[in-house]
Amino acid sequence: MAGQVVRGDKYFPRETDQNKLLRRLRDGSHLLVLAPRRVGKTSMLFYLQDNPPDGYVFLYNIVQSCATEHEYYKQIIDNLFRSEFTDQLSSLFKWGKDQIGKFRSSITGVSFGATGIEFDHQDRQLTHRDLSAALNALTLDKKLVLIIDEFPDVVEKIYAQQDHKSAESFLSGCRELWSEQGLNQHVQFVLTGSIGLDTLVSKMALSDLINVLIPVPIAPLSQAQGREFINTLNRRELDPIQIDATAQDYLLNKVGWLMPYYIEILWMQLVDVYFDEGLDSVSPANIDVAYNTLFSIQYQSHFNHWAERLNRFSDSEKALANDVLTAMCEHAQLPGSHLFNLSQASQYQQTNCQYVIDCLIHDGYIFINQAQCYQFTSPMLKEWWGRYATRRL
Amino acid sequence: MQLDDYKEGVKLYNAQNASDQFIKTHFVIRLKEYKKIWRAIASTNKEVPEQNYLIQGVRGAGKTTLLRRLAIELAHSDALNTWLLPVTFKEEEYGISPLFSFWERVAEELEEHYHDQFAGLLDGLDAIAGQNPDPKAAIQLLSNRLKKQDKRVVLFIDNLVELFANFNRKETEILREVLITNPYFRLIGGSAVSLEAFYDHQAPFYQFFEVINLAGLDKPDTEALLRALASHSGEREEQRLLAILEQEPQRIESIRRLTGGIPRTLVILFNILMEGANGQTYALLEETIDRTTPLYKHRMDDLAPQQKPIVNAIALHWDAISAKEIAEKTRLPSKNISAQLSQLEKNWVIEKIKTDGKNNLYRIKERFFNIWYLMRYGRRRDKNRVLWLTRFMEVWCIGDELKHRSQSFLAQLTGQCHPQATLTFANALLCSDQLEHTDKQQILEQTQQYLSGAGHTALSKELIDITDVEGDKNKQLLIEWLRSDEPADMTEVVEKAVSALSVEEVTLIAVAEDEAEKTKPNKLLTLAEALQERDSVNALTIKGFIYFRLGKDADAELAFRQITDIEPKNVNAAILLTSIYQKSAQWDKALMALQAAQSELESQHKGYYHRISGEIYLERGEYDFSEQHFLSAQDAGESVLDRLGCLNMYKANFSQAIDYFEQYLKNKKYIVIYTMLALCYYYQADAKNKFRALQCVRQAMENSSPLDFTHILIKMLLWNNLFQDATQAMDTLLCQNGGLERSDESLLTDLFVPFLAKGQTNLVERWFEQYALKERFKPIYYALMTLMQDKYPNEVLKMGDELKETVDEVLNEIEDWSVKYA
Repeated sequence: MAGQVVRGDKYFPRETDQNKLLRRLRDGSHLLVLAPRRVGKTSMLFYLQDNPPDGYVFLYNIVQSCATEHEYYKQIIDNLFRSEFTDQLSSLFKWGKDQIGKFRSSITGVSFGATGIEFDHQDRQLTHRDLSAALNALTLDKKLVLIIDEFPDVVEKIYAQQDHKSAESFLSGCRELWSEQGLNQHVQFVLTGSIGLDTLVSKMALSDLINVLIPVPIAPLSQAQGREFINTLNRRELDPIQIDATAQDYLLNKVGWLMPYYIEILWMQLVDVYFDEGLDSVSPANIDVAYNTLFSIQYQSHFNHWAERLNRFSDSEKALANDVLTAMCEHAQLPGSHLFNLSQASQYQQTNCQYVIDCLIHDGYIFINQAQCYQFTSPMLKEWWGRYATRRL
Repeated sequence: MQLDDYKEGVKLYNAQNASDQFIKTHFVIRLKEYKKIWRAIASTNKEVPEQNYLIQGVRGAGKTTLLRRLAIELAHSDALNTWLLPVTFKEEEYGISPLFSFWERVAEELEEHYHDQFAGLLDGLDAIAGQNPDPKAAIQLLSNRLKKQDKRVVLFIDNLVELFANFNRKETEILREVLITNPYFRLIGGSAVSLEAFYDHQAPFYQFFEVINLAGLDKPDTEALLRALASHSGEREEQRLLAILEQEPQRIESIRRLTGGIPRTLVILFNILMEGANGQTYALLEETIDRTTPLYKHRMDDLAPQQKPIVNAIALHWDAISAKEIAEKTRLPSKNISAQLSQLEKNWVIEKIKTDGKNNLYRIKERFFNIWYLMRYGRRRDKNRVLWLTRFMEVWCIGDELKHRSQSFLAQLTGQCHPQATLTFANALLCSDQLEHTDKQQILEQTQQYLSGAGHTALSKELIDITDVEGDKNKQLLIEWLRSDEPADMTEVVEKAVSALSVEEVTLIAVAEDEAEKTKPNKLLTLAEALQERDSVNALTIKGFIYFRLGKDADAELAFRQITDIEPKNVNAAILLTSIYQKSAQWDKALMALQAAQSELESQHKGYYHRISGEIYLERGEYDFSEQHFLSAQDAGESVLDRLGCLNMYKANFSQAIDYFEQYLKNKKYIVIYTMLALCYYYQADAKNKFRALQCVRQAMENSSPLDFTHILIKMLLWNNLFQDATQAMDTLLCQNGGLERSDESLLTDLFVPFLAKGQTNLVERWFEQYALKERFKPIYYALMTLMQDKYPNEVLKMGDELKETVDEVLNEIEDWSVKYA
């Protein structure tokens, strides 16, 4: 479903990526799932939580609102102690009230009440050691996978609102936790977020603190999966529409970068066109109409965030990023020499060009194709960028 | 007929207060949107967080009713209402902040409506409130209770975006976390402003809602709504509507266009549709418009402070208006205006009219809103005070109907009429551009007669002051004759009119008409003949202007020469003769003609005199004199920065020329000057200015045919090392129809040189092959072969000796360029 995180039978399985992630987990690694917004990573992680493979229990945490180390650990520990999770412990591991009570009192100076964890002293600050204490009190015969969504946001906030030292200290604490020998036997972390943690920490010169994390990319759907996804969407319609394989392929080619979200937003427009015009089959022209509607003013919000996300760059970085992307709109692909040429413009002499390019790649704007040239990940994004992005900056 | 007769029961502004049954029965539009959201609600999975929706649309688009309809359906659904509880926030829940209070409001509603299950919930929240209440704790508490009761909640919140705007960044992040992870709450919101108006997309719940846009109703939905209204209003209305649908379907379309298909305005205008608009019902119209005030006032209130003056300028202008004109009217920077226009378009307040050029036009999307605006905020003097009615009539009346309505209005003047209504209606008609002058004359006279006759002399004096026209009846007659297709001979009436006017007045009209090119030249010549005896100089002036405009410079010269024979220092003749000689590059004659009226021109048009003198001396190559005159012109306030720039450019004094051009462009954007400036930078060849040079050419090409400056552009691109762009531009130039023919050889040579200077040998070779250029550009070809000697060792040997020197020159040029523009 375009918009909300997809759960239950509305989720379209992405077995290749799921299996890749599970393989890495079985290797015993802590993972870093890197993907831009709207590629469906949260939905996939929820799917794993709802359908864990044998030997695993997942717990999803979203930490976007946390701006300090304390808030970060409070959010996770709250989730661990909440009844939704302890109910699971009861049903899976036959934990009794005593055991749950013991687990909830595993952190000194902290108790658990109706509104979450409470502190004996107001100035009690939670750290990685507290989370370690709680996790070490969880002696399960399955591995616990803690999913931490929007993790880079926390790092960025601590860095921006406090200082480099605080960010370093926070990441050092995380690293200590990830590297804790005893803990690693029964707890693994999957960190994810829509801004690139690797580029962020690289800019902060703290890359060594996250090098224990193994990156896991999320791939677009194949053409066949794309068709299956369309069929799944169609089955969910109250009145399914008539769309043959040729039209499906045409739709998928329009989308280009086959991430479910982009297929679905075009699909939704197509269904509107279908019923508005009283069609009994779908032609390429109908898909073109739906496609163009996507770029009309009402639907630009599907894409605007791509331009506005550049705001986290400095002014000159943003200008360079825009120059690169705008130049790429004019070409199917761009050789590296061209990007180099742009980056040599006098106004970018003080700009970390490689950082900008890396961010654009990690955040899903562009990729390097087989010809070693740069191109947009999504033709839709390219089209939108060419038409509107500059005025959003 | 009173408005209330029609709208009985129809809640214009308070859909929330209508009864459940009423809403269910009369819900005839927005069915598609309703079905979509209802289906989502009906298939709620209680274990997982579900999709949230945001219904967006202008005020009056039907958001509140749709939310109400959904809430009612949920409350009445036996399958769902045992565990899925609708909680509706009142339409105007302003000021819920911080986020903790939001959850308090949810608790309040739960406790009020489902007391047995949620008793004590508020007390629980009170207990944890403290000084810095933690919204996460509140959510936890509410979720625990819902979990315990095995219930889920659908929150129906109108004005959701405005409500959320009260929350700070952290609170919105918490909201997003709740919406992702918490299965107990689902949001269905309505908003008259788009989410983007408040949040950039870094905002944490960017795109978290599936947005349902409620656009204006289409034809079938408009008809469905009107039918429902008619059936609700009574038999007479139903029959009247049926008659309209059968006999005047275009009127339905007219009302739809007028209202932009916005249901609430359609409801308000419904009675006008039933009655039609005429002199008798104008008061009803006024009342109707007044009824829209709460709706439209809110719409104005919804605007950001910087948007209000923009909407004001657009609304008062009525017709579509460009961003530039808006900038002039509002005195706001153009950059801000573009951003706001885009936002206003997104919020459905205005619509963009695409034009052939780059500058789009904007107008108020809902025309009735514009009418309301004119009525409420239009300037209250002169004709502006009735402009709203004029505009309404113009939009409302189809074809000749306005004329017919004006005639029936006059016919009604024989009976009893409301004097104020008569005055307003007459004034509205007098303002319309769609009525002929003679019709207006008739309206004015008869209304005056009527009002005076009925003892309302004071009111009759309030009839629109069209004395400009009344007093200028003769002028109008003359203009109408000039513009008409009647024969060039003057009728007696026109002759009379001309004799009644002064020679100066006639001359002014003639010159203005000539300039506007609205009149056939032979009529103006007839007019000149008619004036000949009264004033031969003015007659000759008219003739001279006509010939000049027609390009008959010899005849024009003769006419103006005849004037100078009579009045040697005649300013018009001096100006026009100078212009004629400038056109034909007769610089000495131009200077003499100008200097003949030197003293008059210097006293009356000093700036002009010196500017033209400067131009003539410039052409004569007398740069010092030229400069002196241009500087004098500048002292006199004349804008000559462009000329001074050109002068310095001719003198190869590029830095000075650049200064002048840059100064010029601060105030005016003129494509030729951009090109000149680009060339100055180019000739100056200072690498630090190469980008500026490119910018200038691009600026110049924004509004002109690309081919015009493509060759300059290509050089600038190459200078900037933008190979892809330069290549593309060159490809366009070469493959464009006639590109090769239109570009002369030296021009293309001039372009191949820089490509080769930048090492693009393969590219130039491709073009030579693709366009078979070898024979046409032999020196370039052999220069290319010299550069590619490693690849083609024998090709250079074929070059004849006679070419050697030229090829060497080309090679030197390439070398120079590569150094100069490295």
